Amino acid sequence: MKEMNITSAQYHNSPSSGKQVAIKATVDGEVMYVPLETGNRHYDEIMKQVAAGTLTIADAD
Amino acid sequence: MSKAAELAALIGSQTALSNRNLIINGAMAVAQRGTSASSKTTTGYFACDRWKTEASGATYDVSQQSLSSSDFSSAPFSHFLRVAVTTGNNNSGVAQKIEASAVRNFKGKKFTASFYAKGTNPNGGSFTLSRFFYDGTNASTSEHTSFTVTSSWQRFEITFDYPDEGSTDLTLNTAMMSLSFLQPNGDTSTNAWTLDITGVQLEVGEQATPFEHRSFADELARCQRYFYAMNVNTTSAPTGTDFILGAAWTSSQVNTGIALPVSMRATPTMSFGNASGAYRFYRDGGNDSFDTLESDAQTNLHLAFAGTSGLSHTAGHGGSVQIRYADGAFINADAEL
Repeated sequence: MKEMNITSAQYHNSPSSGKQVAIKATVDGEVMYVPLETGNRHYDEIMKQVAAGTLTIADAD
Repeated sequence: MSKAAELAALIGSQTALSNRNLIINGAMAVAQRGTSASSKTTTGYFACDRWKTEASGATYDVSQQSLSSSDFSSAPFSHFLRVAVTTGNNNSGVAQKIEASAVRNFKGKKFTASFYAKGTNPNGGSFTLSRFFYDGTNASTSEHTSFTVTSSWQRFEITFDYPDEGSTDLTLNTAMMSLSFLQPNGDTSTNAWTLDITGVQLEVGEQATPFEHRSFADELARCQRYFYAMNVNTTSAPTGTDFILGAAWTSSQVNTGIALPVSMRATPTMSFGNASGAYRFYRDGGNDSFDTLESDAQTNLHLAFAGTSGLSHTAGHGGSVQIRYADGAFINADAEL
């Protein structure tokens, strides 16, 4: 059973620096900005679902 | 060994009389996210801080409740956590995920969990107190002790060995020990049950000591290592509005941010209460009303965010960003395990 229901994921760039700083994801119905860091439970779960082939992270706008 | 030495060994350490409770928010006093959530079918953090409700196929309501003065003789606390399962399933319940770094130096010792509980038992049977390690990839075998509640408050005391670590790597920052109060693994009944629980303490040693009461401020700060809410639902923020400094990065973007009150466990996930008119940027004798904030960067010490739509001002102006709680604004940072 999945730990979280993640329905969308897209890389997010800082509006100031333009650098990729987060994944904008919808987790259990809520929009979240997930840092690109192991140890954050949302990031770890996103990567698990990506590895399992059940989630794709879209490119940043 | 003298009787005094034997007693000290049973308790764990003569010097560990404060900060001996490894559980955070055991008295269920802190509820930054809000005090209730209904008809939940997913696992998550919804009411009392640090307490994660495990759905495991169940449907449940979870809430922070107040104890009445008539209860104080049997359960001397202001609040308790209620998990009311409407459709049960095995392994549903509530858990606290304790950072492994807080417990792994007690390998080989015994732990004693104590707690106050009442309610109705799953399928008319009993609950189970479960503990295991998990490092983000590997989990150790779960170990269990049954307990049976009644309709009256009782204090339970359960002593157990330091759990088997299995193949977990407890040096990882994702590593945890889970202490869970669950419908038993072997009970797949779907009957409703309720668990009211408070005064949860986990300590080293074979003897349960009286609950270690901490100040609200102390407990809140401990909780904020894992979750911080700038939100009117919390007792840490005032109702109405807050103001934080902002600067016009461009003519259509305001940059702002906050310093977190404590260093968080990890870089947190940010979320915002984006809604119509939730924020205003006051500058140069006027203001822009805008609806959305987005991440600009985040660390475990600081959140930087920006408004990038609905704004029109002169680049370079400084001002303040109003967080309008009554219009749905909030700023959350989540570094839970």
